[in-house]
Amino acid sequence: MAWFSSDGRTRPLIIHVDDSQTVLAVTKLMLESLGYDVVQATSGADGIKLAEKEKPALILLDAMMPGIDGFETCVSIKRNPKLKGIPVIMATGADGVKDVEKAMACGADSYIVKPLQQDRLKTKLEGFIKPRPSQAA
Amino acid sequence: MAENKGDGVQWVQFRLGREEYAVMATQIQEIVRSASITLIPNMPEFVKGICNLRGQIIPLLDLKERFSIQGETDAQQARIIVAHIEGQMVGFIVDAVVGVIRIPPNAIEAVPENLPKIDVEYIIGVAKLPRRLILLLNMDKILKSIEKMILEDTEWSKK
Amino acid sequence: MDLAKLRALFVGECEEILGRLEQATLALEKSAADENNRRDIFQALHTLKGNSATMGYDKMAELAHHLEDALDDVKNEKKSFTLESAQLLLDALDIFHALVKEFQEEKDTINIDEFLTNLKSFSSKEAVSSAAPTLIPQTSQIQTEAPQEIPQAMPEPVPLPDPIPFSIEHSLPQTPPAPTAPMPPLMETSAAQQELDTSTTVLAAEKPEHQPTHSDTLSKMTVRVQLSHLDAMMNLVGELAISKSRLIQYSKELGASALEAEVKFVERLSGQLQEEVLQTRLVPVDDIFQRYGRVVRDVSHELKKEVNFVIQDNSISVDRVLFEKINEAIVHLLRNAIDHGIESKETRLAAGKSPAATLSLTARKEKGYAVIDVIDDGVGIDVSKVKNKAVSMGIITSDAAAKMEDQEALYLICRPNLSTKEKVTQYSGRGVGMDAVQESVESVNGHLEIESHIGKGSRFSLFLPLNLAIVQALLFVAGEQTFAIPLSDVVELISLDNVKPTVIDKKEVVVLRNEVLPLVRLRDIFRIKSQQLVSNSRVLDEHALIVHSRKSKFALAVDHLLGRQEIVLKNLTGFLKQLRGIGGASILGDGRAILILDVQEGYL
Repeated sequence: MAWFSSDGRTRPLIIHVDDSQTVLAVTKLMLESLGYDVVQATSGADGIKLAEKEKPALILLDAMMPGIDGFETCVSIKRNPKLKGIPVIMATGADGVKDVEKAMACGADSYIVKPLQQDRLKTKLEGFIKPRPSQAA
Repeated sequence: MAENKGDGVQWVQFRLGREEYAVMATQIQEIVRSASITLIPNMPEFVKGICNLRGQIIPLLDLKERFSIQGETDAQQARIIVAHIEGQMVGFIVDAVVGVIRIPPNAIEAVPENLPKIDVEYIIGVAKLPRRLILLLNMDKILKSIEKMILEDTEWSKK
Repeated sequence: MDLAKLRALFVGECEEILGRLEQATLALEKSAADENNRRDIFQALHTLKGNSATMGYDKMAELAHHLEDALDDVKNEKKSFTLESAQLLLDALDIFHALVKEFQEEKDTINIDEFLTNLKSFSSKEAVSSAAPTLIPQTSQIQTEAPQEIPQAMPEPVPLPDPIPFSIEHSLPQTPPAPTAPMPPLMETSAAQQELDTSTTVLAAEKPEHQPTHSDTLSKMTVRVQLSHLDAMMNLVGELAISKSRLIQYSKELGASALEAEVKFVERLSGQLQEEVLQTRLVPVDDIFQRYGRVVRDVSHELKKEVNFVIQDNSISVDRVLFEKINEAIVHLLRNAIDHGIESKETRLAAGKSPAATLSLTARKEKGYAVIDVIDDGVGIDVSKVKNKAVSMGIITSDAAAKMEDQEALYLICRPNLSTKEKVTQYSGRGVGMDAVQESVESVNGHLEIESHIGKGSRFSLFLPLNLAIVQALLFVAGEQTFAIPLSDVVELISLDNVKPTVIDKKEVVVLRNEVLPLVRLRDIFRIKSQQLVSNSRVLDEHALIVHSRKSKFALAVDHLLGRQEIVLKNLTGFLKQLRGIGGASILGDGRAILILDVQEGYL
C-alpha cells in the first residue's frame, strides 16, 4: 500500500535553485534516482515563490548566482514565516572557506560542496529527510 | 555505425541488368518504390530529374544509364535507393533490390581483370559468395565523378 | 533526459557563457572601472567551472579554476584590469571553445599544460590557502594542481596603452556617431541622406539607452531549441500553406458556404502559425553583432590599425539559419575593411583624416530585405586598379574594361582570384573571399551591393530577404513542364498573338510599347528535347511573361499559365545548385516537385 505524507506526496519534495541549466539537469537526475521529487528554479526570487507554493521538505540552494545570490536568498527564506521551518542546504564552491562561513552566517542548516555528487547528496539529504525506501527509482 | 564484429559489414544488394551490386548499408537512408520525377534541364541522360521525398528535393540518378548497362527495366521491380553521401542526399534508380546482407571481410577480393562497364575506380572490391558475385560500389567516387561531369558542362553551370 | 541531450545542453550553455565572457572582457577592457563587467566575468568563469565539473569534464574545470586563481587579484580589485588580463582571458576563451568542441566530438587531444604554466607565471600568488581538507572534493584534480610558488614581488601592472586603439560603441548614440566622419560619408544623394537622418532620429526617440550585456538582463525567458526542430516546423508550415491553398480552391469549387467559412478560418490560423514559426527562427541582429567586436579587435591589433568600431542596429531580427550562412561573409567583409580599406594612422593623418578609422556595422530594413552594411571611411576601391588587374588576369578584355562603368567595375572584385593587394595577409588571403561573400548571400536569395569612393571609403551591403521560405509565385507550363517564377519578378503578361514576335539580328524579340525586348523560349534555353514533347510546334507558346530582373528585362514565352500560388522555396543542394536559371525547387500540393526559375542572372 502506498504511503502518503501529509501533503499528499509519495516522495519528499526538494526545491533546487541554480542558474545553470547543466547543473539543474544533472542534479535532477541524481535527486530523482535517490527517491526525491524535484522542482527547480533558476533564481532566488523564483525559488522563494515556488517554496511558498509547494511547501517542500527541503531547499537546495546554489550560493553563487547572478542577481540576488544564494546567501541573500537564504536570509530571505529564514526570515519568511511561511518558510523558516524548511531546512536549507547551500551548495558552495570547492575552495571557499569563506563561502561556508557565509552560508552558516546566513542561517543555512548545512552546506554541500559543488560539484554535487550523488553519494554525498544521499548522505547529506538523509540527515534531514528520508526518501520512502520503496519509492527510490 | 558499421559493425565489424567479425561477421562483416552490412551491404544493400541490388541488380542492374544481369549483374549484382551492393553499397554499404550505412550510406543508405531508405528504399522507395516509385516517385514522380521532375525533369531538370541541361543534365546528362543519367540524371533523371528530381523528386520529392517527404518534403526534401533529391536528385535521381540512373546508374544503368551512367554505366551504359544493358537490359530492360521492370517497372514492378525497380526501386529507388536513397543514399546519404558526403552530406548530400541522392536517389539511385536500380532494377531490383535483393536485400541486405552481411559480407565477411574475407569474402571480399580485389577486382579481377575482365569486368563489365564500370571502371575499376568505382569498385571497392568483389564479394565472392556461394553461387554469386557481387560488385561492391564506391558511391562517394561515383557521385564525385558525376558532379565533375556536370560542372564541366560550363555553359550551364553558374560559375 | 538522455545522455545525448544532457551533453547538448551542456555544450549549449557553455557557448552562451563563453559569449558572455567575451562581451564582458571586451567591455571591461574598454572601461576598466565597470563593476558589473568585472562581476560578469567572474560569474561566468565560476559557472563554467561548476558546469564542467558537474559533467565530469575535468580538463575544462581545471582551466577555469586556474584562470580564476590567476585573476584573483583582479577579482578582489587589488590589481586593475589590464590589457594583459584581457588578453589572457581572450586566449583562454579560445581554449575553452576548443575544449567545448572536443567535448562534442568526444575526443581528448587538447593539452592545456602549457597554458596552465603561463597562467601560473602570469600572477605570482601564494598557494591557495589550504582550507579544511574536507571542503575540497576528492575526485577533482583541482586540489592536486594547486599552485605552490613562493610569493615573489608583485610585478608592476602594465599601464593601459593610451589611447586605446580599439573600442566598441553600441547603438543608439544620442548624438550622431563618429564625430569626424558623418555616417555614412558615401551617401551623395540628398534623398538617401534624408532617409538615414530620419531613421537615426526616430530610433533615438524610441529606444531607451541600451546597456551592454549585464547580469540582470541575462535572465530573459528563453528556451533552447534544436535547429532541426525549427527546420522541421518550417517545412510543416510550408506544407500547410500549400495544402491550405488547395483547400481554398476546392471549397470554392464546391460552393459550400459552411465549408468556405471554415476554410477561411483555417487560412487565418495557418497564417498565424506561419508567423509564429517564423518568429521563433528570428534572432535579433544585435545579439549577433556583438560577436564581431572580438574579430575587429584582434585584426586591428594585429595589423596595427586604429579602428573605432560602431554597431548600429535598428531592432532588426533575422532568420537564424540564414544568418549562420552569411556569418562568414560578414567576418570577411570586416577583415577586408581593416586590411585593405583602412589606412594606417600615419597615412590617415597625412591625408587629413582622423587617426582612428571608423568601421560601422549596421542593420536596417529596406523593402522586404534586411540590409546589413559594413562601412569604412578608408581609402575606397580604386576602380582603375581593379580594371587593370582584371584585364591582366584575363577576366575581361581591355575593351570591355574601357567601356565598363565604374559602378559596374566595382563588382569585378567578386570574381575569383582577383586581388590588387600585393601581399597575401593572414586575414584576407588574395581577396578570394569576395566571390565567396557574394555566393553565400546569393545562396539565401539575397544579393550584394557595393558603393565606394576613392579616398572616402566603401560600403558593402548584404541584402537578405526577410521572408525566407514562402514566396508568391506564378505557375506556368513551358515545354510540357511546370515551372514557377517568383511573382515579384514578373511585371506583365502579354499574349503573343497580339504582340507578335519578330526577328532582329537573328534573334527573336517582341516590341512592347516601343521597347524592344528579347524573347526567350524556355524550351530552347533548357534544351528540352523534342522527343520529350508531344508536339514540337511553336504555336504552343501562347503567352509571354515580361520579366524584370535586376540586370535585364525580357519576355519569357510560356505555353499556358496555371495561376498564382504561394509556394515553399526549397533550396537545391549539391550539384543541383550549379544550374543556371534555376533558383530552387518547390513541392506542389499533389506532391510533384517543380523547378523555380531564377531570372536574376539574365538568360542571354
